[in-house]
Amino acid sequence: MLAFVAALWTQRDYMTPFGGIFPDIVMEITAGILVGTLVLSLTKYATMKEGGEKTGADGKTNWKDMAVVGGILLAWAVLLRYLGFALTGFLGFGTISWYLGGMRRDLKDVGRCLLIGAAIVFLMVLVFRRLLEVPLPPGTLFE
Amino acid sequence: MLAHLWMGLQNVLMVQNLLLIVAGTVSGMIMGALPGLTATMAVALLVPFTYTMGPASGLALLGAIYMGCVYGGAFSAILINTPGTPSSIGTTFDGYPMARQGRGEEAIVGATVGSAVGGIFGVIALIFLSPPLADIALRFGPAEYFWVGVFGLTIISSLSAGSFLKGVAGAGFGVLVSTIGIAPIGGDVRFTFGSPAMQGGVDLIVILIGLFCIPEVLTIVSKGIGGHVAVEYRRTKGVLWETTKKVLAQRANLLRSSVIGTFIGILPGAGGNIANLVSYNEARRASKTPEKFGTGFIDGVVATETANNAVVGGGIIPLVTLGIPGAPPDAVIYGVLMLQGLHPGPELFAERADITYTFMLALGVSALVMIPIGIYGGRLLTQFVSKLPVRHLVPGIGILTIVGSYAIRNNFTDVILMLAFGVVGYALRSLGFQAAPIVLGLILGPIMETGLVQAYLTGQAYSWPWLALFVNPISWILIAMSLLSFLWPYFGSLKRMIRKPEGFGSGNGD
Repeated sequence: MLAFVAALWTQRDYMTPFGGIFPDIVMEITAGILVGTLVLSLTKYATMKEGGEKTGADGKTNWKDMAVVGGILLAWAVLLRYLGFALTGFLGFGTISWYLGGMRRDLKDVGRCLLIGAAIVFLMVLVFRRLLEVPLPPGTLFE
Repeated sequence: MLAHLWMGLQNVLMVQNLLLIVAGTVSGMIMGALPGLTATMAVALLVPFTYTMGPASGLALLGAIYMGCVYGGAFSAILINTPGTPSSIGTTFDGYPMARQGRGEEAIVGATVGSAVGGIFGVIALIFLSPPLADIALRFGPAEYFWVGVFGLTIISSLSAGSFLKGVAGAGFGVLVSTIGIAPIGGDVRFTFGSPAMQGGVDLIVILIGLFCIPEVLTIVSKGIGGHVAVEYRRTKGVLWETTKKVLAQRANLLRSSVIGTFIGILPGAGGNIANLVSYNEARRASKTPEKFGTGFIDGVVATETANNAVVGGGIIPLVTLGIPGAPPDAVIYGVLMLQGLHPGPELFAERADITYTFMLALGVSALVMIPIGIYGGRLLTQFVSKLPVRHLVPGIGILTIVGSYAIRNNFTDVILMLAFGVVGYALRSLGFQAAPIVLGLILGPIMETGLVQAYLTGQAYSWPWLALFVNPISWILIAMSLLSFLWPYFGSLKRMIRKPEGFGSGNGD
């Protein structure tokens, strides 16, 4: 967060006298508080305060699964422009579903994930494009 | 007002809107019953369905989703001992013991009747308190709007879990994100890092979806929510009517819980997660048999469920009058109001009264619709929830988040930003920064900046321009309230140093 405030500070380039009044004040106050919390967190006092997110019952966070699913979601978002909603949705849903199911090399399981993905994507396209008339990206490759 | 109420009632009773209310209530109940999903997430995920609807229909759908979601959390709380939403934490204390004693149906009926009563009370408060508050808001000038923003940020920081300073820092972060793009006064293009795509700023709904949905998805992936075994319950003849009579006879409990829920809903940023626990505590204190609480006592279930549904109406009061969301899901509704071109404040009651009252009455209808759906559909709902595999739930949420963030402006950058804010939100939560202050900062930032700069400009008539912020008596009241909410956590710490610490922590809010 401090890095974000610092990044905004470097971007200060106001054309009018009013453009910077408010953000400058907020940046200064926020930076001061963040430095304060950083200092407090490095001292013994920090152990008396409530901390952040509690992990699971066994105290462990499954970083690998989170990273993989996060990576698939990112790839899904990046490819959305090129492949369109239908194809990326089908692949994204199927991949995440297969991965979280234990990545079984069982054609039946893979087929089931892809089939459910196809059904969900079809339903979404039906509801959003046809019923609600909300445009979904077709993908530049298919235009 | 009566004419507007009548018009609103006619709109609500149109077949299309009634169907949307039923669909919204059912969808909300399903989302609420799934442990790990919050009401804010449910409302944010289902927002894309409203993009092409008329404002009245869209808001009616969202209101029904919100009301249904808060109620739906009771099913998991009672039958799985896992609150479906943070608003139902207190319901587990007595609801699950009741289910284990074979009185699951009695607990569900108690939760249903309590939720309906609380929901309707909140809506009545919304209908009758909002117009006078909107009239008071007419007297607000730029300085008063600035101090309202400051008050909103200080109170949510003091109410959020964990460090108060982190709450303030989170609010500051949210305010700074809101300054990206074109300044509201002067038109400066700020903090775009040279990217033309950022000139329009970051859309509120994109950030809300990212901050509230992606961290939950990552948490579900990490910890899982599957493997829950629900306590079976069967419908027994006579239980419905007997329990309904028993609950309705608890007039003091119902009224007290409704008032607590509505009042806590009005406080910016405080939601059902706080209301249900405060109400449970108060019900136990007021009870002639406090030792029965926690053993399977229906009064406990009634207290929590009445309060958490009363929050729905209460939270919308500051939203429609001042533009300050009372609870996190109201922030999503604020985003939709902006999308539809509706500005909170007196204008909503003067020029757009038909939409406003339709929305309010839709909440009330949803509270009534919950009764038959919950009582007759509750078993199916629980079976569905306990059998839904995480491997399909996670990518399903992924699809909705991508559609939701893309479809606002047909902008691919919004999807990337949504994911980025999601990862940032997860990281911040791990470090003790809650999402609610960040979101409120995002919403109040433009209001505060406009108020501050306009007050500064009008203050040119004074010897010191900033004096304009302090001349109005309404400003003094708001400054005093802000100071009180800013200093309150320190009074609490001082009291705790003197006596033994007790109390509970509140969650991220729903």
